[in-house]
Amino acid sequence: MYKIIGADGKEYGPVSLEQLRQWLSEGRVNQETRVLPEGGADWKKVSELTEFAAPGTPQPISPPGFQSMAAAPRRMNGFAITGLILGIISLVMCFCCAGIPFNVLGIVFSAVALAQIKNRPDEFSGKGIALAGLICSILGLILGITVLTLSMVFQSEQIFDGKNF
Amino acid sequence: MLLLAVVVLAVLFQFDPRQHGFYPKCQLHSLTGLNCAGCGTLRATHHLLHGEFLLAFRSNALLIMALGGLGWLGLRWIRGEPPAVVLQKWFSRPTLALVLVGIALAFTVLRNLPVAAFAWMNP
Repeated sequence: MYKIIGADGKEYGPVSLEQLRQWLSEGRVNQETRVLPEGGADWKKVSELTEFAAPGTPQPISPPGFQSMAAAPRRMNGFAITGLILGIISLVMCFCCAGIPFNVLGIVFSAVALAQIKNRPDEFSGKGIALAGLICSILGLILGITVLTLSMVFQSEQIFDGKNF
Repeated sequence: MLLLAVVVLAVLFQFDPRQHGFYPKCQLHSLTGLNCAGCGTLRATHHLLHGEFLLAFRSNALLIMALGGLGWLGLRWIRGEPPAVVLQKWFSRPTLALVLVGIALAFTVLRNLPVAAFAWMNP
C-alpha cells in the first residue's frame, strides 16, 4: 500500500499498487508525485521507485546519431470531447430552457480541457476540439438567452396551459 | 450567485408554476405542444421544495436523476474525494457523456409517446 501527496498538497491513500498504476496512467499521479510506500520512512518521487519502471522493458538504448524520443503517445482529453458534445447539444436545444444546463456545462468542460491541455501538452491532445466546444457552448448560451428574452417580450401572444416549462 | 439561487427557489416555492404565467415558457412546448427533456423542471422543483417527491419525479424524472448524481458527488466529497477528481475519472473517456445524452434523448422521445406505460414521464 502507498500514500501519495496530490497536486493539491493533500495526502491521499493508502492505496494499492494497482490503483496507483491506474492513477499514473490517468495522469492523476505523475513522475514527480511524492509517494510513501507502506512501512517506508520517507517520501520519494514516483520516478525513484523501481515498481513504476515500465515492466519488462529495458531502458531504451539510443542508436548512435539518433535522438531517442520514448515519449508516451498523447491521448485525447476526455473533457474536450464531452465539452464539444455538450456545445453541439446546446446549439440544438437553444430554443428550450435557454439551452441551460448544456451550454453552461459545455463552457465549464471545454475550459477545463483547455487548461489541462495547456498545462500538460505532452500528455493531452484535442486543443482544437476543446476550442470548438467552447465556441459552440458560448454561441448556444447567447442564442438561448436571445430566444428566452424574445419569448418573454412576446409572451402575451402565447398560450398558457400551465404546462409550459 | 447564491443569493440569486435563494430568490429563485423562494419564488418557485411560493408561486406554483401551474397557476402563474410569469415564468419563462418552453418554446418547444408553446409552439408544438411537445415536451422537451427539460419540460416540467420548474414544476418538479416546486414539488421538491414542498417535499412531494413522487409529484416531482412525475414532472421531470431527469432532474431527479441529475440531483441524484450531484448527491453522489457530494457523498464522495465528504469521503475525501474532491468533485474535480471524481469528474475527471467519469469523463476521462467520452463514454459516460454519450450514454447520458442517449438517456436524455430516449427520455424526450418516450415522454411524448401517447402510450400509457410511459405516461409517468409526461408532465
